[in-house]
Amino acid sequence: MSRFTLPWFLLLVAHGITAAHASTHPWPQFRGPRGDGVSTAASIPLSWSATSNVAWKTPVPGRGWSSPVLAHNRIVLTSALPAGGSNQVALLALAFDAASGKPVWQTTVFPPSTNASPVHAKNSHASPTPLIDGDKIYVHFGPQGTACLDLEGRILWTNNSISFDPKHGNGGSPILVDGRLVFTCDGTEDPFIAALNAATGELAWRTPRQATASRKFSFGTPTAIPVKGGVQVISPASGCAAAYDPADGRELWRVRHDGYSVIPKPVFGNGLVYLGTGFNTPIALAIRPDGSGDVTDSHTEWSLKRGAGQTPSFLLDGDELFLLADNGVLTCANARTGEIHYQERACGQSSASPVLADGRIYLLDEQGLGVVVSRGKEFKKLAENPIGERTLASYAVTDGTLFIRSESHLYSIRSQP
Amino acid sequence: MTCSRLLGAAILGLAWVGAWMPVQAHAAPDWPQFRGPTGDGQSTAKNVPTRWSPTENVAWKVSVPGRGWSSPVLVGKRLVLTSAVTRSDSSDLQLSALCLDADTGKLLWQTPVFTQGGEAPAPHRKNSHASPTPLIEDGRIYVHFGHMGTAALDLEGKVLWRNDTLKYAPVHGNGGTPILVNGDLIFSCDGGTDPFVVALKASDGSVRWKVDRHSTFPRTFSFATAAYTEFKGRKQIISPASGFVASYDPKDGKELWRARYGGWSVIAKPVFLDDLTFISTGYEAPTVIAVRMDGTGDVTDSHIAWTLRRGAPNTPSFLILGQELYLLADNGVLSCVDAKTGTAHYQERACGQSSASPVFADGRIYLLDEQGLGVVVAPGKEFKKLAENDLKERTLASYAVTDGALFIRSEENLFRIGSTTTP
Repeated sequence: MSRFTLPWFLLLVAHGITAAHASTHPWPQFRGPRGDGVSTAASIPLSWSATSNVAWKTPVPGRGWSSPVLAHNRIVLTSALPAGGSNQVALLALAFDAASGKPVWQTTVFPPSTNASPVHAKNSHASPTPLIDGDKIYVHFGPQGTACLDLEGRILWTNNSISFDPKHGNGGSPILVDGRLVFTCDGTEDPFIAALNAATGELAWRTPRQATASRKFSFGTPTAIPVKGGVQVISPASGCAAAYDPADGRELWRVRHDGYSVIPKPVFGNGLVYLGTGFNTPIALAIRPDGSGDVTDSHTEWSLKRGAGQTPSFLLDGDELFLLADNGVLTCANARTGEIHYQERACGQSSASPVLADGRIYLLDEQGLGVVVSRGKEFKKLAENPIGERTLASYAVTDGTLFIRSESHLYSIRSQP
Repeated sequence: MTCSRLLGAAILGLAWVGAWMPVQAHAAPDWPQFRGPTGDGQSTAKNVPTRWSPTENVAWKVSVPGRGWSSPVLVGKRLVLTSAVTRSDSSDLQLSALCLDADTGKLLWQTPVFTQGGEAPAPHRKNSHASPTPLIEDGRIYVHFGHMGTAALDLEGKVLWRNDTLKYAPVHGNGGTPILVNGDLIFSCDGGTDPFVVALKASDGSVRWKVDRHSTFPRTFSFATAAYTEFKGRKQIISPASGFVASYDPKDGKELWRARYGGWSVIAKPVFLDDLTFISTGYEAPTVIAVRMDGTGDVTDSHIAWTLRRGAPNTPSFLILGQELYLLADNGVLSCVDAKTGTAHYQERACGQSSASPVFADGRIYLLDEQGLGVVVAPGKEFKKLAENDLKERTLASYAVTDGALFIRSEENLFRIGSTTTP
């Protein structure tokens, strides 16, 4: 273990994703409590189908590929409800009772407007995942705006002044670091990363990307990591991945790459930041985050040209790094060296990010097939669970339960007595 | 449907049998307007459920944004209804059209069509700002919000036209639903003064004709849905109003005949049997009158075949099955009467206070009272209750029906009762 790796719980205490809900494990943001797809919940179902082990299933209005989040026994997600054809959509935040699936509230965060840009066929106008911190809910719709709601769905603030021209719609989710919501604004021109004051919604800082990529658009979600007693925001983009000081947005270091349309959220462990480079050929990079300036040649620990996904994020399990390629091939690599343990076809075309829960790895392909794989260096498929609906969002996990958002429904998957 | 269209359909039908029967044979019937495909509460659906409860035989239940007592309509996999939705940032109401996937209940789109100011007078406690039922034909959805306006949308929720030029002062809110006759949307505008009937061109929403009711009745407001028929070659729009029912020529709105009565706030949609049309005269003492439709001018003294005081509804519309007329009074008493004479075969308490109109489906009569009690009754001259199904939610809208399923709109929810998917 390298010298600058703080235990995760210290970061959580210091930087405040509230995890102190005694009875259930919250899943308060994209990729869960730690933002890395790892759940500490127990008794997660191994098998299910459209009709078995479904505790409840409820239709979700409109269209959206944001992933569900969970806290205070509420599932929160966002959706875009067409309102008058073409690109006019109302942007909604919705809450459901986690135990019963009953809708609790639905708030139109941004009313229908005609200036929503077209989205990619696989995208939606509601793709960034909400974030729950204490009694605040943050929802983000890329250039359409960001908002803070209370637990009853009342809007506390909105900010739709951070405009940029998106390509293919929005994507990256915000993270919360030191009272700031940090998100990427990598549109067609002049890409940047921005932070809002989470209390007021006011712009805290914005920093232009130092990259010369010809295709500037990306959809990444940043990751905050502890380094040398401080915090860095790691944010992949087109042409580079960079680290920023969350206090002022100052760039700390960057790594150049040839990719664009970068999506995966970095993961961190073993003293290394693991990130992907997007299209056209996704490369997995392991970067030591203790450099400054351009560290491309000095701090790249290893790189892997085969196996990384363009869309699903990575999953780190100790010394093993799991990469799910968009085509459904799962790669298990040595996280310290990049050496491949296996590459096996696990499922079909995939966008959802893998989850580690109850000692097993959960994948979800775009046709609604949930595949459960054992952890470890040998590929072992434990279960295949078809839900029979299109699925691009990632799982949310709590004790005994997986939540799946499909094209039409929200499912609670729970072992039925 | 006109004779020529029927003939055309028959010819096309013959031509299509070979090519299309395999896929068309099991297409589930639509419910494209108030009171179903024929506008009289009759469904051709099969395997319609007879038992349900809040937890049993519910394929799905979804909450419906806003408030509205319009009934749901169904074409293919699309369920459409209207609702008055409160904006989060103001007290304005957005009079909206909503479309749900009939298989899953998923809200597919929600289009605000008109904005009603927050100062809008509250409707009657049993009414809403979205009470007229939508109508779908040939890939177009027509929605109507009384004095607030009328609009056409495509199946994706895009507004094709709006007409909000027919201003009048409503009493107790809106109510009557338009009917579509030969390419025109026809509805009554019976407000506080100067009531009129109007036909809008369905193609662009412009006014085809507008006729003054020439009413001398003191209380002019009513909420009735008109009905269309053709009797002995004469096409007629039968449109009940306060103080009288009138027949209009659908071509130009020319009044053909009228029959006077003492009622007002008339709601029920007329039905037909042979030469008779059946009208409820509304408040305060509702009476059913059977009017022969071959008259001209004032036919009050010459063409009323019979009248029935006891058991007449104010709100629910009628059912005609064979030679029998079924009346559901607002107090839940169901009457079966001989349609030719008005003689009652029975009058029995079937359910509680009722606003929804009865439906005949799969050989059974379906009632729905205001407390959510769905009562199933066997047709015939003897009263026979087959089932009571308590949904335990307030229900004033009428059923929509398709194969294997009933759709019920409650105050806050929409239910699919029965099978999960359209067979």
